[in-house]
Amino acid sequence: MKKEHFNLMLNIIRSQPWLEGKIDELEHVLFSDCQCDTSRQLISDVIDRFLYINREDNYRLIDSLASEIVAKYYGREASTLITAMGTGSATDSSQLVAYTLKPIMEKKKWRHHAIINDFGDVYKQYKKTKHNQIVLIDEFVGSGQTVLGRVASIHRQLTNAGVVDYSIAVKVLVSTEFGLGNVTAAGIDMTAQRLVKKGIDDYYPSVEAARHRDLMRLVEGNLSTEYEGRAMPSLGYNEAQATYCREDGNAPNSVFPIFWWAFNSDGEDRHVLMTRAMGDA
Amino acid sequence: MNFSPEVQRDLILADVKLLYIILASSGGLEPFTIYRRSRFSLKFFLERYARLLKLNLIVENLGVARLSVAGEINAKAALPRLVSIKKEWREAPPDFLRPKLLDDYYIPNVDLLSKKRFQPK
Repeated sequence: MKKEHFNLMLNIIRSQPWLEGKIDELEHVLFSDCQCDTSRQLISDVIDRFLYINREDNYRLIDSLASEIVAKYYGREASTLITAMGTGSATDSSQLVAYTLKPIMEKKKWRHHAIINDFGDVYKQYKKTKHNQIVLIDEFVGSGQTVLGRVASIHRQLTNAGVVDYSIAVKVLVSTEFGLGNVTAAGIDMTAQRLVKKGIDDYYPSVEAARHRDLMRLVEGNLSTEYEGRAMPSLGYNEAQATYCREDGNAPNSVFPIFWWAFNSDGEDRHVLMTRAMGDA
Repeated sequence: MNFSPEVQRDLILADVKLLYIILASSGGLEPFTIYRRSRFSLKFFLERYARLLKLNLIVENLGVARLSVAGEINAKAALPRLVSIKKEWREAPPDFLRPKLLDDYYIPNVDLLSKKRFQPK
């Protein structure tokens, strides 16, 4: 191993100590996927920009999300309906957030709100208990598309049933600035405990950013272009370029796929820095 | 043995070896040099080295790694582990010692004799 390459690795470990246990994977991305020092430097810079949330941080974020709900809906507890962004029987990290909130709300002496893990049941819950101030919660927002779809769907559920007196707010642990911008631009009330920037576009002037995007696409050339009919989301779903990783978390597909896409162009398993269940890639 | 409170009890031999490489140098070394001298694998080196940085036993300044005060204490405290100045466990307790057999007959160990001179039939 050359000295410059050694120092590149060491610098990455220094800036992101959680990669300490992922040396082989890091080596693979830097020296098998990348063919030149320019692309290695780009990968290293993008990794440097990652927001890493460990288990403790995650709990703290959920606790501060709870405090935000308690403060905002003070005195309106009995009409507050907290719902995970997930739906149906599919497992989703929004349900992890909802479940973790459950005892936290009790500690804050909140006892008359409702908390559910399927946003599709908002109307059902409303009919039963008349909770009408809806708080949609989730772990992470990438491009914001899912949020827009969920909010529109709740509006449909309620207006179709003739309900007019309700409000919707979105509260998440982490969001990209890009996603938050898309959601608030649609007139939706949304907050996030932490924000991440686009890993490339938000760090360079536009000409340089375009060059870096091309370079990243070149490195992505080592990945398979699709898996079971789903395309590899170049630069992250909707080009969200998300730089977020949670300990034990299932990586969002808006994160740069070079870090989690499980197959190389020959269809073989890759060494990946972050894990995402490829079943719903 | 008396450990001063700054001595870390959870350092493995490899950690101590890294500290000793710096101790044995005059002042500081570049991490890459420490890596080469350790002959550890990259993965293993980076894991251990990063941990020593986190424990503040090694401090880096302008690309050069040096021992902190605590690092030096730990490196020195671990010298016996490394260079085996005195292995106390190897000393026979006085109870087990007898006068040396000097003028007695002596049966040699056949395995230790020269194969050439004492060819077994």
